[in-house]
Amino acid sequence: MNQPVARVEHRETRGRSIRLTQSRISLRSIRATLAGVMDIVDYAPGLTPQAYGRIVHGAFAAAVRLQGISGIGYQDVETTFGGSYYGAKGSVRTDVILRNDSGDVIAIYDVKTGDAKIEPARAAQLRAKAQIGTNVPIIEMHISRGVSRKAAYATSSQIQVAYRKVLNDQFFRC
Amino acid sequence: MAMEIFVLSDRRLNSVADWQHSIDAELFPLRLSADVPFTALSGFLPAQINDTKTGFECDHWSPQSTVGAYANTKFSHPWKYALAFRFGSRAGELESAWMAATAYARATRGVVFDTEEGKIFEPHEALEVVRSIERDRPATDAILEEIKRKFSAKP
Repeated sequence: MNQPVARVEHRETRGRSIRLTQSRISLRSIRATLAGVMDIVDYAPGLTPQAYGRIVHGAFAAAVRLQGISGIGYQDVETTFGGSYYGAKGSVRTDVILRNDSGDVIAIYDVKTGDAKIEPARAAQLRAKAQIGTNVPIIEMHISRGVSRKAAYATSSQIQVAYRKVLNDQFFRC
Repeated sequence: MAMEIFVLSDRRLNSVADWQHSIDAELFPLRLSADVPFTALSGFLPAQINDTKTGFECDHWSPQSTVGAYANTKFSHPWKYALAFRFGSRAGELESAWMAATAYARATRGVVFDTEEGKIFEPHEALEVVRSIERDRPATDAILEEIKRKFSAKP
């Protein structure tokens, strides 16, 4: 069976490599979660790139919250900086942040699909708003559609069920 | 969860009111927060689309930075201005960002650059994207809601 698959890469924009064991485990967990999401989202045909991007990001946010990854609490997904609530005027939002045991931000993860990438100026803006230094890496989790890696996780089956229900099975290329 | 588009142009609007006027001319059901000076745009710009409170991040950006970051995209010429739109997956953000960008591009005779596709859209093409987003919205909302419902359900 020739199923669409996803490749998840990551790239750090400046900053040191993450050295803590907890951070490495979290990075692997996040990559696995994103790969699992991608394996399923790629199954849905006929989506515009814009709708595709929205679903990938929304599904990834929900999946990360579900995973209960060490160092990533519920509020560490779609976190607002520079404002007291989501959607506050002038604020910025991060995809996922990782904290150490003291609650300090030790990494920021940002999902990119298609050709999108994090410009250095955007990384600088996020650091300024989050009040972190260049020692905190901003990690781009980049997805290439239809390439190379297949991952199977519990979250994948949950998303697939959701897709099947909404799209009535007939659209799936399994 | 940030997605990103830019409007590249050789002129800028003078105010959010001018921008709102161009949005209204497109008949988009979008209202931008009026109490932010255009020159001071930075970070989240609240908006309302129909009855939904929403918005997107909006920043004056360096066109050179964007053009340099996307070297594989053929830009027609060195644009003078860039306006960045960043938005997440929550209700209304995708639509409001694309509507606002399309209207702004039309008013400034600029283009919309979608980083997702690495593609440049003339205003009339961007309008088609807005229409497709609106068309897909019920299905997209349903998919996302079903995913979230599954995730929040006990195993």
